[in-house]
Amino acid sequence: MRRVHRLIAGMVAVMAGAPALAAAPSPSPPAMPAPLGSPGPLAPSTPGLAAAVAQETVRVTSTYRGETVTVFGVIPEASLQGADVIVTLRGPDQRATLHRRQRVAGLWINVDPVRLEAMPGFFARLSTRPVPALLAPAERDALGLDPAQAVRFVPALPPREAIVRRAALTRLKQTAGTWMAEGGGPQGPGQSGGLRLLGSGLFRADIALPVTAPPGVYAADILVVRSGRVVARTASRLEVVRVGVERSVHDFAHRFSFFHALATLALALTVGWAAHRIFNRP
Amino acid sequence: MVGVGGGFLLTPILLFMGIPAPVAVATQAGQVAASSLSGALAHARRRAVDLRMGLVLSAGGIVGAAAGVGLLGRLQQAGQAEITITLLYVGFLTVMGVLILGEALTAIRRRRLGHPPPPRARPGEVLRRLPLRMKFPASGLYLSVIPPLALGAGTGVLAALMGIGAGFILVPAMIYLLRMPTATVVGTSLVQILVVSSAVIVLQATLNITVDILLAALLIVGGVIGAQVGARLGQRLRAEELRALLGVVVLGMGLRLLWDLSVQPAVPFALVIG
Repeated sequence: MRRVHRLIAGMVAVMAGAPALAAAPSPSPPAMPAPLGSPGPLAPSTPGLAAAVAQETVRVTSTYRGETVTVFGVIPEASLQGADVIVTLRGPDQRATLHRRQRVAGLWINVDPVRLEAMPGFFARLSTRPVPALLAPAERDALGLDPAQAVRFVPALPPREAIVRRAALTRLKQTAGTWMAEGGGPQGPGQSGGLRLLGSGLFRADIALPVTAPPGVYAADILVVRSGRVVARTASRLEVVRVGVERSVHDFAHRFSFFHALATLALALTVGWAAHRIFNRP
Repeated sequence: MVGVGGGFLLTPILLFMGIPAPVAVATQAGQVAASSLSGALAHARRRAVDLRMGLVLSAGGIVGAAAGVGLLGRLQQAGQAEITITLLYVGFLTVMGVLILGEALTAIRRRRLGHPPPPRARPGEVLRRLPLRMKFPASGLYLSVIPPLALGAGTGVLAALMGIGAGFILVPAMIYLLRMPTATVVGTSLVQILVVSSAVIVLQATLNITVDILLAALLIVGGVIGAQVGARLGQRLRAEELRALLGVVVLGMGLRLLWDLSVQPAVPFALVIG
């Protein structure tokens, strides 16, 4: 709800033409104006920042091969000096378990499962400079910039084990292509952070959603950072939805699983019978 | 072409393509049902089916399939389904590959065995003494229903776990264990495979939701076409060389699956979604 509130507050401010930061060009760190909506955990929403996701929905059809979504926005020129932008896109949480792989009789098998909660099925982070250079670790975690840090283990793990597992989870998700930091693949162009700020304060983040990104609501979080502090923040969202045949089949299989079973069986038997009639001529 | 159903080749291919093992084995049951139906109909026309025996085997098979599907669901929840299915296939493909290759090489070298293999021991007195005997007129048998029920159940479990018809176990067991006449064995086994694979589809799709109707359609149609192409090709090519090649491929698949399990993972952890 907080994100929604912040979005509404931001939109109201933009529509009212009230660029708060522009009105009060502030030295860093800026004195934050009183937030319009409910305050965020660390950074109050700032109406000066306008940003949005270009696509409101990504439609997963039967020929879907992934899609690039674009988050764009503009920082008021007055607060552009020394500002960096961080854009995150977080997909719906996924149910998952993390197993340790142990060698038993020469084979690597799964042992010690731990259930994961609040594990986003997709996460991307782009920034004008690498995030570790912009914010302190505590702040990064509080802002949800590292998805592994927010994951809860059930049962809870001792701290050292949790650190190992968070690192492993990050690597596995990055290898699978469903978590990405600094603009792309597992390594990414560490120098740039994958996001460019144009002179006029315009920024644009292209995020490639792989086929494996789960359907659901995706939350985009846009942060403007200056001197180690978040000075502006806004949110947007998009939805990845199954449509057409893809959706019908998925719904059919899950909601009417018995009829889905009968349909598959009928298909098999019809084809088998037809093959008999066509090919098994006496 | 080589006297096997061929379902066992499909799962490894699906696994290499990255389809989750539980989905691969469940969906493939559709292809098994389609091909066993056309096979069973062909045998039925030649009256080469012992329907009563087929139904007894099927009854056991349905129980086994239900147990197998339940077991698979548990394994999935425990995150062990992939490795169990893969290991079953490693063992199975390795044995099949060695058998097919060995047999083909023997044939190629024309090193005919002087005598046919000695007949197996009689189906021990134990089997004869079991209760609940039943007449199977089509096969000229009068025996307890317990062995066919148990045989059906065993292959039913395999059908659920591996998505195959398990005809390669069923047929020899029916000949040597139940002592059925060879004329009715294949047709009767196809009846059991048809019933069991149908049960597997329904159970997997309702309990585990691991059947994908679109993938099933591709496999079913592809399987039917492939069987015809194979039959035509088989008439033109030299059968022994072909079988040797198949043996190598099957063995290779088994070893490849084994290699994937034994190579040290880059990250010694595994993420299981769901």
